[in-house]
Amino acid sequence: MSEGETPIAAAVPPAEVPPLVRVSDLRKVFDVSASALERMMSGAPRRLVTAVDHVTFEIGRGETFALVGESGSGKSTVARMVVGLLERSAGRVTIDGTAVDDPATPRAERQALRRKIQMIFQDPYASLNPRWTVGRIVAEPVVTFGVLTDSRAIERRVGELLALVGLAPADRVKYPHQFSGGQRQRIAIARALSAEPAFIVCDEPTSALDVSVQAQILNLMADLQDRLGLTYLFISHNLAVVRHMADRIGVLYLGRLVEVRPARALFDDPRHPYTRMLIEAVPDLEAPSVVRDPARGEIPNPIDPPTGCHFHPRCPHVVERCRREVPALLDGVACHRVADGSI
Amino acid sequence: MTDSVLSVRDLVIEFATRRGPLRAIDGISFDIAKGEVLGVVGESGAGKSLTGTAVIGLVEPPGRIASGEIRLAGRRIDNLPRDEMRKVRGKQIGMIFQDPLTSLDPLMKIGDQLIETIRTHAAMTWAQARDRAVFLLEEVGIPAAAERLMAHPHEFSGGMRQRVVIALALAAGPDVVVADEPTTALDVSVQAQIIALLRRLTRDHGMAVMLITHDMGVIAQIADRVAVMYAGRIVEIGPVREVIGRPHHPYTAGLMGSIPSLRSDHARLRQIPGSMPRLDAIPQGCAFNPRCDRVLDRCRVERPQLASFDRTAAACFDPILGHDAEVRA
Amino acid sequence: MAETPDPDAGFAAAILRRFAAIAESHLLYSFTRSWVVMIAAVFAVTIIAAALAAQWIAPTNPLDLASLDLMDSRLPPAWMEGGDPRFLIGTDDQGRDLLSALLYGAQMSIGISLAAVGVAILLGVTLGLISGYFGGLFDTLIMRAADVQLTFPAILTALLVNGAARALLGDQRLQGGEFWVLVVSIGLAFWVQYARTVRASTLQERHRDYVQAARLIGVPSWKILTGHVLPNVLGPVTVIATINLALAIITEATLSFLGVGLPPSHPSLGTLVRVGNDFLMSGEWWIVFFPGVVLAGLALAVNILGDWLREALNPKLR
Repeated sequence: MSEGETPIAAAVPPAEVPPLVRVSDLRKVFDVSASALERMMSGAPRRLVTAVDHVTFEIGRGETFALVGESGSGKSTVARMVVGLLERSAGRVTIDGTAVDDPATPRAERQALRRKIQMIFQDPYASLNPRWTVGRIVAEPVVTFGVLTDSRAIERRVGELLALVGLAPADRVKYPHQFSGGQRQRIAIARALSAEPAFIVCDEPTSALDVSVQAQILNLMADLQDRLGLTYLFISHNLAVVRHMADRIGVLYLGRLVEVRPARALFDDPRHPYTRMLIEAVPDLEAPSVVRDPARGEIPNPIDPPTGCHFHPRCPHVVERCRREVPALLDGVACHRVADGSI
Repeated sequence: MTDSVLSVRDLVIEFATRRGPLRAIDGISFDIAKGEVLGVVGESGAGKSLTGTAVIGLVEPPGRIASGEIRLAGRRIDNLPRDEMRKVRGKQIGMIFQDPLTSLDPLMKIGDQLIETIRTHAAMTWAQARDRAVFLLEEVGIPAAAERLMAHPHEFSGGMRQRVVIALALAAGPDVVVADEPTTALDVSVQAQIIALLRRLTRDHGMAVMLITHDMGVIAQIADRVAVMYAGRIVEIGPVREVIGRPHHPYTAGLMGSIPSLRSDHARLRQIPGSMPRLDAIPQGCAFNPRCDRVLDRCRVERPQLASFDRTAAACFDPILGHDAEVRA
Repeated sequence: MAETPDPDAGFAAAILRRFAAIAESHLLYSFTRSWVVMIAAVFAVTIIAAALAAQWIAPTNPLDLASLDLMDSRLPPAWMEGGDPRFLIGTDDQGRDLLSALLYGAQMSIGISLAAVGVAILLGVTLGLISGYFGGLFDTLIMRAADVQLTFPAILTALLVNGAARALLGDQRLQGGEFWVLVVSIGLAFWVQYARTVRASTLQERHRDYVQAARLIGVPSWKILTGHVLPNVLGPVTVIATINLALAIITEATLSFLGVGLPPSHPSLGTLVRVGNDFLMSGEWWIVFFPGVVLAGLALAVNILGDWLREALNPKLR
């Protein structure tokens, strides 16, 4: 990570190197209506929720891009669409210029592409099959992609991977329940790395862990990125963690990106009123006695989101235009007031 | 600590298992004075919630209070019969839990729940109790309180629900409020509102608050003093500024160092190796010794007791003192 | 999972591991705490072991018609007046040694019940897995079929299947195939419970992250089902299977008693009770009494074991 040196340069990938991951106009609409039969009986209309709306971003090679947001922001939905676990309603995801699930792409190429993408999940108690040994869990991608077929070679590879994440190679004969939460997340990381991916989507990888263990995992992830040149899409609700890990950050509010900027710039000079409110709201260990103005209101129900700019009912700078028009993302900020220079 | 409202002395809680009793809380003592907020912080397995459960008298078998005592306003409450304790709980001790839905009856209007609670603990007519309910809801910042009395819990947002729970906890004018992770389930922006509310209420009502949380940030915002727990013991206790700014116990220092900060750019976080021991494998001597970078031979055999350094007390044979206390660069 | 090199991937190994875990777990502990469960276990194990060893321990072979002597018919137990020391618990109307008939009959009943429960598990677990994992129209069809079947008592389903098989095949061709007709008709009566339980667990498991992680790398669905989901939904199946075994024993007996089961020449507990029933009024009580006691005792013991298993395995009751 080049954090601390030239954050701006790291944040904007140099023009000659194309980004590794390109996500454009990503959209997800969930149908949350009652069953067809019940709708017919009660005459209720279909209810659709737009969980993710026109989300566009790029991630450069070796970069960590973070999506941060509160509940209902759609950050996990984006993650699951990017890796292909969830069908997209609209939009495009390309890795290395190739669309991940485009039927036009040859099957072999799609499989090769799949190998480059991995995911680390939030809950290490749910992401490891409780009835499998650690060795079998870690080896599953290796076996599935046919990277290695000789059982000796697989065993050796599993041992190396476990050592890489700070566990003992002999741990491969144990079961997940024999490990603590932090150790399980290490196993999940070893598994994610086993087929040598280029791009890892991390969905709240430390939010189920205690802080001292969280530090271990965050440090490990940063080390692995340095050693293996990994690219991360980092999903989190924790601003301090995001600040620590990310080169660039996208702030999501009710399914829309409201601000996308380099990490240092975003925290030093937040521009969107929501980003400001969010950063203000984080309890500060260093200056705890400062009485601050607590944030206003709560996140509206995504089934019935506000018109125009989704943030307008909570925004201290709201004007009439905000209630009607959806602001476009200009210079990394989606706000009418920022765009016309009034805040 | 003569003016302490809640006083816990040498509390030991054990769980009966077929391999013998496991000690989950191992001799902890603390006091909370009127109008004071004591933060109890620790990682999962430290025993902080169990301590809270003991204070409200809800330790269930196979767990039991093996020794020690808990006093509320001078009166011993750890050995009260169930019915007596139920009266104490609610009237003298208010409770706020992480999930507001555990404290609210989903089928009852919140007005009825409030009024019922108020009338259980105070001789009031229905009309008086209703006025008090409206007052309490206004107090916790619920707009249009009189109309909201008729609403059911599901009609409130998460933050508003937690406000209702706080109003319920305050209903009988308790001496002590035990709040177990009251903001953990909430979004950051809502959490800040609840923190501000709790801070104002403790100041205005002068209750003693025991605030249990894993989040040092929340503690820093509300608490006056903080007790840091590790493996069923208090390893450090003192004024919040002191403990955060100049931790004496290596665990506290490690904990503080491992929290990512919004301000500083550290390439790496300080990390404590290993994890909290399981109850059946608590190391001999100082429970933290296998993870400690300052460990002495003595730490492996002898258990350190809390000893005072400046205004805080830490249970450590080789505490961080003076110049080497600068853990946060 | 053929190409998975891991040595302990095999199902047999998994079962062995399971037993190893049971040996040192809560299960054994709770077992030794209840004398009712202990007695039930001893009783069930004795009966089942004796039944399985019938060929070796029975004094005579009741299937060998040539060895029967009508002069020996309806002899009371050996300790009663008129009893014969060769026939410990007496003989039936054809002069068969009742003890031998009982052992062979119990073997037949237990065999049919085990096979029937096997059929029910195979059918129910497969349908439940597919229903739960894929959902959609197939799921709706299977579950409606299950609902309809649940409105019939198991015995009625078994009677229907049995009748249908007889009608289709004819009594002649059925000759010797009665065993399998019974197995299939009882199996079909019991699959619903497995399908529902497995479907419910599958619905939960398929959303868990380890299944998602496997989907992510393109593990085929059948492999996810057999390798990931199946081992994690089998827990409740063991419990239902035990309780079902008791029900299957009774169902077999009922069918045989009603005369749609095995022919009297091939004794099962049910046919023995049916035969004995005819002589109950004439004072030869032993012909019905001993098979009846074994039947009731076995069913009760297995049922108690099933209940205990359910409680011991249920984390909520621990």
